[in-house]
Amino acid sequence: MATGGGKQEHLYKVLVIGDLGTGKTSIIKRYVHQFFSPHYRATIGVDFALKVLNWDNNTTIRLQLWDIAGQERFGNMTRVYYKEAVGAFVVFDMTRLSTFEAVTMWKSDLDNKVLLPNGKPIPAVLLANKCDLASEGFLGNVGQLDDYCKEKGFAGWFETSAKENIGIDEAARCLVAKILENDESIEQQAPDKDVLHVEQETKKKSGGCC
Amino acid sequence: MAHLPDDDLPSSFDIVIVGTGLIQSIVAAAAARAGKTVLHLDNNSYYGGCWATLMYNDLQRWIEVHSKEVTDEDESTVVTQLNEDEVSVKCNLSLSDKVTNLIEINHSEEEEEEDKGENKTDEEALVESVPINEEPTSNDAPDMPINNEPIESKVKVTWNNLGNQKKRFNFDLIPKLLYCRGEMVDIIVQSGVSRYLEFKSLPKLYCSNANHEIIQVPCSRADVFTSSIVSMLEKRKLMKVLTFCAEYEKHETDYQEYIGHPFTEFLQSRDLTDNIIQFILHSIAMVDESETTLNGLKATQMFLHSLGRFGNAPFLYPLFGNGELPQGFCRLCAVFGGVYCLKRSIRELIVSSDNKQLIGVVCTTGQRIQCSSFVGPAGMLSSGSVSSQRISRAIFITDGQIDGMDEKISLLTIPPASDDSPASRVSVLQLDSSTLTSTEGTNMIHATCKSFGSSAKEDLEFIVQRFFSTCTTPSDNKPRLLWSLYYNLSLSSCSHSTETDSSRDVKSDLPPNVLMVSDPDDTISYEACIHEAKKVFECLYPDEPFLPRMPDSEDIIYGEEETASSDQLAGETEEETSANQKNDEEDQHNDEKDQEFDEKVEDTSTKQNPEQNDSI
Repeated sequence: MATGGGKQEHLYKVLVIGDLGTGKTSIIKRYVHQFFSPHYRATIGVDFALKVLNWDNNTTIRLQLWDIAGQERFGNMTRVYYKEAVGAFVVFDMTRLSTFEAVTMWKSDLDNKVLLPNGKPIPAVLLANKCDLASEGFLGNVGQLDDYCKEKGFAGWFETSAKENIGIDEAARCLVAKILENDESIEQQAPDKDVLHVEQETKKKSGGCC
Repeated sequence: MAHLPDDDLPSSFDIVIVGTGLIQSIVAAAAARAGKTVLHLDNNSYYGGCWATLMYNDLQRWIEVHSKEVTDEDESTVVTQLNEDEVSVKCNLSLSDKVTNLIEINHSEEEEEEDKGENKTDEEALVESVPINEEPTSNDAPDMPINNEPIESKVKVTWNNLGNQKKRFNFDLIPKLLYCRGEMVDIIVQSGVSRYLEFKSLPKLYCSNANHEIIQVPCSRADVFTSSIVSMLEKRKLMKVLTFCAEYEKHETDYQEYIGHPFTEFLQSRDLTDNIIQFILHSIAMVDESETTLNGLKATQMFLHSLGRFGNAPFLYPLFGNGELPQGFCRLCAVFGGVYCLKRSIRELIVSSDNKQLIGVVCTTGQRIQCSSFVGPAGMLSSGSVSSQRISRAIFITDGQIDGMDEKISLLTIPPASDDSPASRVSVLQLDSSTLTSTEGTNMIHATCKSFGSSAKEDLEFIVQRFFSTCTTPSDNKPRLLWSLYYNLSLSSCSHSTETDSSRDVKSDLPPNVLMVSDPDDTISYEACIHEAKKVFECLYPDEPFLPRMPDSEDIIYGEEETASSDQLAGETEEETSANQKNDEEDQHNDEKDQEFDEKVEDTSTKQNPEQNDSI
């Protein structure tokens, strides 16, 4: 992924998971296109939204944010969605307890289906979304989330609001920092050269027959 | 934001599809791609149905479920309120009789039995067999030796001490391979599903001769001439017939009279020895003796044309197993608005008594959903023309490769023997950890055949005796068998009529907008499945293109400028939220206009093996 001349470019796949209606799409849209609409619709026809971050003078980061499309009901994700992800946001809605209770399910599904090359779980950041409506919320003392995150293995948590643009950039920075940390500590495994992608047609259409 | 009760699905779809088997998944993706609203359900907690690749935990659950005696579920208690002009058709939900004769054997227990006199625990036995100059590991999941150099004294792997590593196994219920130039490869490339998948090619194929020796199948001109499978005299004839098959269409007069006859008859007419006929039939075409000449020629041609596209191998195997394919199509469907729900099925179809058309379905939760078409698995409804066939399966985990199959990922075909086992052709697929289906230091070996005996174990146990070392028949040059699983699968297939057939399934009394699809067939390839998926889609949406090329999302970047875009992408879904039409602009402004960065993230052309010349 690194390019020459001291400049580095990283491409990271990041998952955005959580129950229906927790604001995943809104968060992605706010983060990537800087807008919010109360009437979200899942984006049709694309796997992910791309955000380019100029991390520092030498590092450009291209974040692929993968929305879960129509597969969110009851967390029935396909493995191909999880594959090769290096980080995740798990989102819940601060006004609905059931979405918070589902966080455990999402985290364990995540840890079951994707691992870093060193066998460790991928870093995940918990997003307590709709914090602008937190007065209606069920969380009396948000401080208790610190313990919760430690227990469940989250890298951290943030109160976010896609509507008011609160906390999203900070959460993303936290996750990217974790991803970069992992990237440096994990010895880059040489990719298996025999693995084939069949995305492109070979130029010669005719078969190899004599 | 509006929410539905947690268990409810939207109440209306263009099409409801039950079962996430590959054919249904392809149809689901194609329908979503054509702009239809799709609800895709599966009664299981995993994707793929019979086409699934199960992780170890899921496999354990699967074994448990299918080992139980089938009990009829009490379905009579539920009553659905119908209007006067509606009739309900009950669906068969218990398909569990599909799997029979399930036997799981943990061979480490047998070994412990052997060792009982010495009264050792697993750990002690393990430590003792570790080379002296290595640190013995004490946890129950020792690191497997990394095979960068030959290890003389191996750590003794047993199924029990694999511990947590078992999670890394991925078990294909039905193993299959993709012909490099088959339609499956074309479809996944065209539809964009290939972005979710990676493959390994099978550089070598093997067959077994009458003396049970394993011989490499010659896949190139050079191979043919160096192969020991045929005599010098036969070589020329073999080359000649293969060259003929590669472009058989050009020589129609030469095979015309055999068109309705078995392929074997045609081969006999070419003045070939029995040896070569058997070889072409079972190791190249991989068809039965009774297969027609035309199908035999097609299969041989497919094999030959597939050579050289991705290296000198006719087949590809998907990383993580075949279950990735249905999941890839499901993901594509979801990306185009399809709604997914597992652990849910439908219990009734609702048919209008006026015109005998399907008007809706009733979910297992009791929810009624309106839809204009339905696709389900064969056997779900008691009507429809369905035939079924039984196959025998075995999965073995060993601590090494089969002696004689020196390529890590390879296919061995064992032709039927007249006097000996097996009575039908057996395909043996050997996979190593690089396919991400087994762990470092172990191999997963799949055996599949049409059932001929009373159970899968009876049909396939000969493989154990022939190729593996066990407690009862220890051998130094054979890999040790750690674990095995046997089962029979009963696979249904249904015939589809095309629109040209005026009578559309004469025997079928299904409503015309209800379609059934087949289970996997017993061939090693996906060709039949693609044909069926296309046919079903054509029946449903004759005017829509089948999985047209997809815009490349890697070329799309969300940019600063907010441009209104043309609504090029179809696939508007009725979202459960009160959909505000104005959002279309915003939501879809990611089409072509924002393609500021034109670069391709990945150019895979260099990864493909350019050797195209050394094939037949």
